[in-house]
Amino acid sequence: MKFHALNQVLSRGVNAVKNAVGSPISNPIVENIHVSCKEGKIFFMATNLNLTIRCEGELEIEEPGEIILNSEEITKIVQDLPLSEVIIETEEENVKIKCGRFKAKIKGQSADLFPPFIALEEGSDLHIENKKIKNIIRKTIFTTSAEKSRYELNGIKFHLKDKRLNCVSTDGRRLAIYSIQNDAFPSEEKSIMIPEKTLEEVVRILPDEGMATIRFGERKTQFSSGDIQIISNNLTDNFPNYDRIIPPEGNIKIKMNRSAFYSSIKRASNLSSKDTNMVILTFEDGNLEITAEREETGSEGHDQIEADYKGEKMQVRFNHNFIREFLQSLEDEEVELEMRDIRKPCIFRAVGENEYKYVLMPMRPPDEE
Amino acid sequence: MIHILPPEIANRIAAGEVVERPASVVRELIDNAVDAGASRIDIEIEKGGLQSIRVTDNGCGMSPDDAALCVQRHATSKIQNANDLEAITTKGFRGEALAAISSVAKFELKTRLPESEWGTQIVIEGAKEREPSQVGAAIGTVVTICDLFYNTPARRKFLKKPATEMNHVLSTVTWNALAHEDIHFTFAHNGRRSLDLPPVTSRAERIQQLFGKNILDEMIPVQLDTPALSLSGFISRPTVTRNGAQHIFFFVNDRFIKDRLLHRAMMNGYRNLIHAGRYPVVFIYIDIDPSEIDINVHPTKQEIKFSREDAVFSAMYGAIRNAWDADYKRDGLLPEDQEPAQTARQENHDAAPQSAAKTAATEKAQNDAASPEKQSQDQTSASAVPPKPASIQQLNRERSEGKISLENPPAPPAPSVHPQDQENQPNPIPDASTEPRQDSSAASPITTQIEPESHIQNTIPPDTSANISGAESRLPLGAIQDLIRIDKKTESLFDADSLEDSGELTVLGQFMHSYILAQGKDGLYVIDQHAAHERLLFEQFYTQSQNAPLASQTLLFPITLDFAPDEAGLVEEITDLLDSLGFGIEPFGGSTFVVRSIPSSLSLDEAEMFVKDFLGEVRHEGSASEYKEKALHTLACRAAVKFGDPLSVPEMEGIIRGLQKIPRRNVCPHGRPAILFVSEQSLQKAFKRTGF
Ligand SMILES: Nc1ncnc2c1ncn2[C@@H]1O[C@H](COP(=O)(O)OP(=O)(O)OP(=O)(O)O)[C@@H](O)[C@H]1O
Ligand SMILES: [Mg+2]
Repeated sequence: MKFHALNQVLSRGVNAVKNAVGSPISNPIVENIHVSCKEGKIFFMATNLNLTIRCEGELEIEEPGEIILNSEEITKIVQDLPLSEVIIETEEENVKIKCGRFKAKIKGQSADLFPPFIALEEGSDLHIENKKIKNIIRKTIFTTSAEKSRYELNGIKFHLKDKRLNCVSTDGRRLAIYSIQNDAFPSEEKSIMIPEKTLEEVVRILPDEGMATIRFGERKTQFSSGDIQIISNNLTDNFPNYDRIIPPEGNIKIKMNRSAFYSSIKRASNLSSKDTNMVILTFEDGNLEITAEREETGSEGHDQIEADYKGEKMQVRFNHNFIREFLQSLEDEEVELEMRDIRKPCIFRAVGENEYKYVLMPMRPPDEE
Repeated sequence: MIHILPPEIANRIAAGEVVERPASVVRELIDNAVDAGASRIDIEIEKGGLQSIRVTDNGCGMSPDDAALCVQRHATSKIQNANDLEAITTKGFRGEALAAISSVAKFELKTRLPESEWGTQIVIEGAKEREPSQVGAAIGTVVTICDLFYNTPARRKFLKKPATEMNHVLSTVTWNALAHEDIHFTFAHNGRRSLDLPPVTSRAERIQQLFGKNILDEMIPVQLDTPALSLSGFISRPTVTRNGAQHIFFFVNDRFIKDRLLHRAMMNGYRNLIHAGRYPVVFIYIDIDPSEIDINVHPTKQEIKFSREDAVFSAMYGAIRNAWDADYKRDGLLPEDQEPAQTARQENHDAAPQSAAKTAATEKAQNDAASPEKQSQDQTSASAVPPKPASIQQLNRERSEGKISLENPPAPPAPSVHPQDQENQPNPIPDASTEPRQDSSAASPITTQIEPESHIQNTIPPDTSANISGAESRLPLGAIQDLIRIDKKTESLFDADSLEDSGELTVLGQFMHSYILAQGKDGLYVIDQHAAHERLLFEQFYTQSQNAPLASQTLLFPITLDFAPDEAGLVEEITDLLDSLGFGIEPFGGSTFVVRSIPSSLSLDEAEMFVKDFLGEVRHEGSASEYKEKALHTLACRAAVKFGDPLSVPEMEGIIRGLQKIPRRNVCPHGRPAILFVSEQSLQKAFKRTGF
């Protein structure tokens, strides 16, 4: 194998795949990055057997071939190459790298034993703008659960039904759902759990421009956009029935300025109990008072913002982290809180937003037995 | 006068195997010697007692007629009628022991009344009993047996190696020696005398004779007198624990007893203070009206039935908790303004016995301090008696006492807690370093603190060899050496007790993401962040949970938890308790439960782990309030910052400020130390910056 390539082609490829590199414990060979050249293209591939990423680039090939290189070594070398054309030449397992006046000799390994890249052939395809899918993931990924014993919650559920795609995640206390309708979507029903790690890579690697194709297979899902392919094993889908979790429309609707609400929660959170993270929201005639108490130290904090609430004084307790993370994920100016009862789940959303909802369970009120 | 018990009485006596192993023979023979009023008892065994056992006493002896009779079944001089069985005041009462022993071993008894010139000898070998003969003998009785179980090979097979049997014998001797400090005991194995315990006037001294002078350094006296019973003894501080219950000694009416009720009450007294699976070192003596107990439960007489179990239980528990309170109050660890929330639950509601206990404990301590043995000790080991350890710890305690008594009028029982308080109270100088010590028996603060030997003695576990060398009166090494190796981590150089008057602490930083380093007025504090935070959370949870359920996060959808079938019943029993901790949990059929809400301080994983951990802990019997405290521990442990968690300075300050407000902060709820103190002086000394 011998090729000439622009330095950026190499660094883009290595960077794209590096997070899919496997741990040597499971199988020493997956600790490598697979590099191959044919037909004017170079392919970088890494896999940890759950997640496979492939990224291609254009280059000038003198002699096609393939090899696997230790990921750590090649990543470092590529990062620090001078800005110049790179020539890589292999002879058996010896690899020569030349770039400007820099020369290196490293050892590779035969690619024969490396798991081959197998694209998903069958499945239902969805086409979504990169920008959109990345936004959907960003707004639902922070409510996935990291808990080991609840692996069914360690990802986002992609649920396709009646040409509507619902992306839902929950950690048991809150639930985020992004729902889009598109007549071009396949009409069959698909329900798939995609691991958080895969989706992080999708957000990281997919370019902002362009279209993505999501192909749902039986056991795997493939995201592709341009010269990037991400294939991931699906998680077992034991996701709770989210339709029943999302509350029906509530009769109490309160609008607030997002950034005022955010700052206020943040100020109060500095004084809330480290242990429970509790803030108390008291709504009363056009006003929201946010209170926090840190019993440990006897500290407390109060703040007030405007809120278009009319009615009896109402007090709800929340974990402030859960509100902050939601508000942080938005750019919108106004948010709305919709609820029925202080014991029931409530809904946060940006005003005028119909696709994205954030369902949050209040903390148990003190008077309840 | 020995007589044979009529069958109707004999039948009421717990039947069973009297002799199981050499130690049982020794136990019975010592019992008889004690009953005979001996002031000296010599025990000699060969090959762990398998080959021979001889017990010699200088007691009242027997007449030739009695001697002939004593080996008969149901022959006893100790009870006359059935009524006597109701209130047994002697060790023996069955008239069984000698009969049993003489039937399973080659047996010889020589006995002589003080007033007679000659003694009587009885020899029995199997069924053959030789005519009693007149022999020359010393006043008292000698029983010698050889070849235990020679005629019952099947039973002989069950005996262990001589070394093991010898340890059992040694334990038996130890128990008896602890129970009768006024009797001179000696013990020899294979001709080598390993114990020689001349009579002493206090139990403390006997304990020291057996376990070494330092044993009492980390123990505090307990004493409680109620109309029903009186209880006294010594218990180790929570920092001194063992991993087995073998150093827990209970005596009821001078009889060594293994009793679950007493054990549980005692362990309850240590609740929150020591780690599950760890045991304290405890010597407890209970004196109770003999009609209130039944010893006629088991042939080994190591089991007992109390007719008023609850009184015994609460006396034991109360005595120990009172002892803590006295100890902690004296340490200044329980600020008076804290009283309602934090200490109420430790107080015994029965005020009278409480103050009596404290007074008595003090008296006892003084007696011990005044004993001749004590006074002959040099300065460094004067700390052997708990109330007056000449250590930095003690110094700080006294300091905080001075401080407290200045700022707050002492609570009613306080003056009797520690007579030295009274000297300190009028002292107008708040600064401890200038506080003069008038008490001549205590070392002056300065010299104690920097006296090199005292430091070494206190921080290095006592050399076990020192405990046998040149001291015949010590137990052999193997039997008890681990008792002496007590944990002295918090002694001397390290002292956590002075956090109270350390003023503002400045956080210096975090070491290895695990320890908070803070600077106080006169030294460096090293705080185990997990243990400290756990302790802090526990106290907070406790206070909070008194008023209302703990903060709880309702779940969007219930999660299910599966339990083992035997756990499921337990879970159902404790759902109310779990609810008060923030768990909404309901049965869901079979051994599955649904969880609808969890404490807001826990993640789902932690919540699940918590319930499982907690069930593991409450498996053993316990009361609802015990459950609750255990649950709070487990909760605190799960919610506390972990070892290795990076902390910000404000977070560390939060922990320290919280700690300064709570009692018992120097141990985590499991009893591990949480704070170490390194005084400036000790650093100076370590760097050889002082002239001493
Ligand atoms: N060392 C001794 N000195 C004086 N008298 C003794 C001694 N040993 C035994 N006796 C007498 O022999 C009797 C029988 O002793 P033995 O140990 O068999 O029964 P006991 O002590 O009465 O009851 P137990 O069955 O609990 O041992 C005693 O009651 C006592 O009178
Ligand atoms: Mg007897």
